[in-house]
Amino acid sequence: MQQELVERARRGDHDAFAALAGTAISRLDSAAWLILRDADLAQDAVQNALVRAWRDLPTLRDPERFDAWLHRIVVRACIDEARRVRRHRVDIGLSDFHVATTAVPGHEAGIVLRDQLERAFLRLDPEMRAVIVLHHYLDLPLPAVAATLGIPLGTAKSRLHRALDQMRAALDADARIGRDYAEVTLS
Amino acid sequence: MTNSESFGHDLSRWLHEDGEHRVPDHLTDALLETAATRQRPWWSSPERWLPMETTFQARTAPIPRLAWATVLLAALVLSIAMFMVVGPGQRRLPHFGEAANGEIAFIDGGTLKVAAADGSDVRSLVALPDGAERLTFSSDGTRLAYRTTGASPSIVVAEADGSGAIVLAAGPENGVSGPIAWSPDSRRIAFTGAAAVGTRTIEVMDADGSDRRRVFADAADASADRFDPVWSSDGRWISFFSNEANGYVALNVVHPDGSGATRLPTSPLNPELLQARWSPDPGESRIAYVAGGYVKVWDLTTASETTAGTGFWPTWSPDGRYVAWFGDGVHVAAFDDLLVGNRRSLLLFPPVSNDCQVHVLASGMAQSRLCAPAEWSPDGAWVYGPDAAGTSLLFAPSDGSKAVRTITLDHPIDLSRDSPGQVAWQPVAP
Repeated sequence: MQQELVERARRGDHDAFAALAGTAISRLDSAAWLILRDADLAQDAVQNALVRAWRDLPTLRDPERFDAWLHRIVVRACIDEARRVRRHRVDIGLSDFHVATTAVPGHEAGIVLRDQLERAFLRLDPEMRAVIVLHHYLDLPLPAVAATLGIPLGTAKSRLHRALDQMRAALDADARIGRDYAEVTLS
Repeated sequence: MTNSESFGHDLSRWLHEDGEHRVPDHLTDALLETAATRQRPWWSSPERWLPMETTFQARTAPIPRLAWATVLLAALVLSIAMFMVVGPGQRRLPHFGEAANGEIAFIDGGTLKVAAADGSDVRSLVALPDGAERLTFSSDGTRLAYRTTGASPSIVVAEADGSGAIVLAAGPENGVSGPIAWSPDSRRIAFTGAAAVGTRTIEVMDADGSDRRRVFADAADASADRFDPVWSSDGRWISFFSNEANGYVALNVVHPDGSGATRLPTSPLNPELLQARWSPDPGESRIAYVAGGYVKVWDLTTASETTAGTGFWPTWSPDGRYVAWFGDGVHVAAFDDLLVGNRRSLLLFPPVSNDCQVHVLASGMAQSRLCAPAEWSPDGAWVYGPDAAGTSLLFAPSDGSKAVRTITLDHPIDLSRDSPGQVAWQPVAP
């Protein structure tokens, strides 16, 4: 069914493209939001990606590769958006974030963990976020991640490894600061 | 948290929780934009021609011999087919390339005059027949062509200093109107000739008047009215306008040998503003024209149309990077900016009204305002043309950085005729 829609859209059938875009937009929008962490930027990236996908669709040789091809366009649009914004925005110091302590039980601990994960994720550059989103959110195996990003498999592996290492290091640093803070407070 | 598996699990769960809350509401906007976007032709991507994958991994893998053989065979067949279909008519002609500024030639009354590149040292060269117009240097700057008007119009080619004039074609059937177009190798010219009664056709001939022929075999067809040829910078195409049966005017291209005639699917043209200018960059196949009151550019390679701005009289900088046009003043914009929708332009010369209403301007005002196609100096540093009163020639730096230079004419140019082409700047080797 999807392949037929791709074939039709490739021949200039805009309704078919609208059907494909309607099916994919939730997934694309979420991925863009996760990479960029900014709703407006994510919307711009997805919109630019859809325009480019429509424009270039006749050049897609293999309709079965439509999803990977579309993911690739969206991820590239996100990275472009992030670079564009980075050039024009003054970074906010990380010290502005609230640092939670580790001594929080139950439900609150889950909130703290999400908060820590988000902060660690934000410290990654967009290329690293893209690898994580493709692998851990879109559940693509690493060869598909490499194909989507147009990079060698080895690069995809090392990029994911470095990204996760950096996140762990950031979480550990948060945990240390939390312990120090708790000790200072208790004393 | 230190456990790798647990960390990956936590990360996936967080991403899914965080991502699933998104409710996109911009699909309609995106689809409106895609509906207004033209698709690229399928053949414009090498991936559709060659057995290659988009991944790096696949590219590093050895390509099977059979695939190589298939590609080579296909390329060979394609080359033979292209040669059979288009023959030598599509070959690229040698381009003159970068040029420096030679002398400025202009018609003042009935005299051909020249000035140095800085506007000084004005000298009279030769007397010209009455009504001489459309002064045009060959691409290499060694010869000059012009048209005479009146009861027996003719096309004349002379040396760059006006000497040695040869009448290439004379009589009402020759050079009815429109431009005289030099081929980029300066060997041939194209012009509008009379065909059947009331219709026109495109003709080409060598610059010495020999080998004259009509581009279209059906030139005698009374329903075909074709005019205003312009040679592309790579020599492979001639553009022309045609009056269509539905009352519209179309912009077309054809190979100089008459093959490959194609009507370009541009926006509807303004019949009162028929101007076509090819980008001087021989690596690009772009042509500027006026449609719907806008200056637009058609790219033959991508089959796409780009809008420059409101106005008319489009011209290109010699390197094809900038477009100038008239729209209440002379605008200059970088074509790369226009391609991405950035219509920022530089305004040269003080503005006049969009229809050049000279009568509303005081004399002094008219003499500082350009109201004609803004032609470019061969080195691209200046744009120039007659002032709105036709009493002087104005030269402004194309980047707006310096003061305007002026050459005062002894005899005003009759600007009631559309772009009579009374001035041309000689290209010389840099």
